[in-house]
Amino acid sequence: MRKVLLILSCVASIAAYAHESPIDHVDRRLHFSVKGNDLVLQYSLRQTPRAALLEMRAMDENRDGRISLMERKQYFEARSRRLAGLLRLVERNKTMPFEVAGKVVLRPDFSQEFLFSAHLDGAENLEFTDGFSRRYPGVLVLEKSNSVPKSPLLTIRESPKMLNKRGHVDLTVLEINIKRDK
Amino acid sequence: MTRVLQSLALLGCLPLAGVSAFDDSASTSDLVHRLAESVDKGAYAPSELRKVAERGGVAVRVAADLLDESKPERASVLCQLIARASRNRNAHEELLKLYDPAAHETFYTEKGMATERKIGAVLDWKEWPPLFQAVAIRACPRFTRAWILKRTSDSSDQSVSRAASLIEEWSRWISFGNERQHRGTFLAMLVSMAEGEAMKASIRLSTSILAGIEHAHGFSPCCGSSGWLERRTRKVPEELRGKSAETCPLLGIVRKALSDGSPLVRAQACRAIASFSVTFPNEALELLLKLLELEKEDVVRARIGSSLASFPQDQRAGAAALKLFSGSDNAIVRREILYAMAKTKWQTRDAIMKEAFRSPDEGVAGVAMSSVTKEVGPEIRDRILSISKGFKDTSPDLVDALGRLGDPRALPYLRRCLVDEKRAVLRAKVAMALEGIEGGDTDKLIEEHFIRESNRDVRLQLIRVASRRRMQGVVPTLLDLASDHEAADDFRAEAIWGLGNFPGNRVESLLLNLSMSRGLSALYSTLALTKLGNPYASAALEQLFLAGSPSERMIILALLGEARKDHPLVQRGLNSSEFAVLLGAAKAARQLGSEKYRRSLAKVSGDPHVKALLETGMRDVPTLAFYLREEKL
Repeated sequence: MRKVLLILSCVASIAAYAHESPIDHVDRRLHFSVKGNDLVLQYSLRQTPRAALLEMRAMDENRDGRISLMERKQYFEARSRRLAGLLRLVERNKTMPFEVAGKVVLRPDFSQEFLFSAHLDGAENLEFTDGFSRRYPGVLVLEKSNSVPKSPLLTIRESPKMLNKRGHVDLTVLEINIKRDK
Repeated sequence: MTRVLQSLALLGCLPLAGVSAFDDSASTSDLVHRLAESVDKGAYAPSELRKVAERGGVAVRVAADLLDESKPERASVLCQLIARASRNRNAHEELLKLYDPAAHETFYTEKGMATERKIGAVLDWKEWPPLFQAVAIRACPRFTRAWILKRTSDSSDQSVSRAASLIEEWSRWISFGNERQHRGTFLAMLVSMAEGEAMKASIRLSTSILAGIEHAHGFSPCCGSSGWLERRTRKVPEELRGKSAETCPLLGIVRKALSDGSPLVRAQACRAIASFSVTFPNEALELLLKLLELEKEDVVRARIGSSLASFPQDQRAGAAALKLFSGSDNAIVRREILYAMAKTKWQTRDAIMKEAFRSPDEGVAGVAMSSVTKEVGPEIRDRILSISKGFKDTSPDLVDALGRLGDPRALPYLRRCLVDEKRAVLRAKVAMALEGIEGGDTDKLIEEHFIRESNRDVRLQLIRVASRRRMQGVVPTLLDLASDHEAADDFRAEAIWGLGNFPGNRVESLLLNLSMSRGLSALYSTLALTKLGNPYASAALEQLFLAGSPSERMIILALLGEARKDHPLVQRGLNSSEFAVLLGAAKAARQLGSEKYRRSLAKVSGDPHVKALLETGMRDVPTLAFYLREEKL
């Protein structure tokens, strides 16, 4: 019986100065797991303090300089939905849409952690494309995971379709293979 | 293949079973305790510290409980942790509330004083952990301020040295735009310190207090612009600003220091006085001029010279600079005056430059060249051209100066440089200098050299210059490059954008074709068509903007500005919450310069979050401030 999640990990130490300086990098960490018949994706975006500060312009609906709980909730709900719409999971011609599976968690290093899930319907050989990374490139880290008993084996590889430009991942495309105990 | 992709490819096949990561489930308390234990056991790894520091305010709170004077190694590592984790204190209050509520509680509430007291207790330890000053300023500023104030009259060496080092660290923190909470109370603390006995006995404490005034009252080396200074001095509490120069307690400290027996103190006072050039410009300048009459020490005279730059419009400052320059043999003093003069409107500029060329040694002539503008008088102009006639090597200062002069008589020297110079970077500089020199001879030189130039960067520069000069002769080359799918991206982009300077059916037809393609050529050809006023381009540009990355949107806005083409995208960009887009839009709006955009820019400046951004020393923020408020960079 397979008990182990197999996740690759890489930490790219591409410095933020790979770009011309006015561009804020978005560093992302992806963590995939399989729960039941769902592929669960923990998607973390780390922004620069400058980007985080200016992002409040978009949150502050009433322009009072403060972010109320309601403004925060509405902004991040909308952002989660937008982001989910930019993530693509495909097996052959069948698309499995990601749905928002939890609240956004904000971290002191100006990270935003999103939680998404997609129904697999038995799919095993998938292609994952992060459309958000196309417009907001940066360093990509795929997180390793702890072993989870009885969970399927998950293998993730870089797809030949993956793009890079000026020293960082420009479009994240991954091949995900899921092996379950028969 | 990048390192990212290599890593992915390599690691993609490796079974990494059972390796723990994404350790976010571990509590911050556990992580900090684990870190302390690993230090106690001598098994500490710096990567561990970095990871825990990302936990921010909670990590600070937990680490504060574990500081122990009897365990110096543990204290050293925990202080590094606290310094890193509490760096967030420079963040805007609303941002802290969102991302690090524990840090917000520590730094912004009374409850947080409990943590400050625990960390601040280290101030009384016999030995401070390394670089503890940074910890004190970042993590327990209120406690530290009270601790320093208790030492106002303590003249013992250790007390004075510790107080001075804390004030120096706080000044640095402020000078980088990090202090959002305590600038006013820091200045009030300096006033109290200056009244005590401790300052009288210590040159170091005196200079640290003066540097504190310089940074906290107004000046910031990373954003040392006039608008920045004005904004910062507005935020100094009323009682410290004073209603007049006589009643301003901060200026009083500086005034007194100008007559101190130590040249180091007087020199620092000269720097501090520059921060009063907005609030009390007359009095501040008069104090400097008065000191200049008596001052004999070159270290102070050099500082007076550089501080005169804070009075760029005041002709008294220009006259004083000339007098100081003529009466000084010291190259440092002379260079400081020339640097100071670069952005002034002094009428004595030419006279100072003339003096500089009379004794040009020890780098004086090079600095003088950097002050040359198109407006210099005929005597200086002839002098520089005459220097170029006899100059054999390529001097970057001279090339730049000739470019700014824009005088065709400089062509023989620039031609020689372009042909004989082996270093491509200097040839590129010559190409840039040629842009400002009008006339057919310059066009001919550019065209000739473009054919023989071997270096790609210099060729790129020549293409740019030729198209900006609207040299018809270069159009066939631009058309070839623009159509060449094998050409490097930057060459192609430059050529396509350059074609926007040449109206005509052949050019527009090619640009229209390219605009139907994808990627870079579509972007630049649509922009070039916009520059040419093609009716198709506006809607297409909007589509590209909406689908583009921040980088592409910034390019669109910056080039609309460069072409002086108004477009609804500029207003859209001004509303953006992305820095690059806002920067591009502000630049474009400023270049377009209409009343509509002046109002829009003022509105952006008044946005609470943009205001918060402008208060920081973050990268490129001074550039944004420049476009928003026409500040001097």
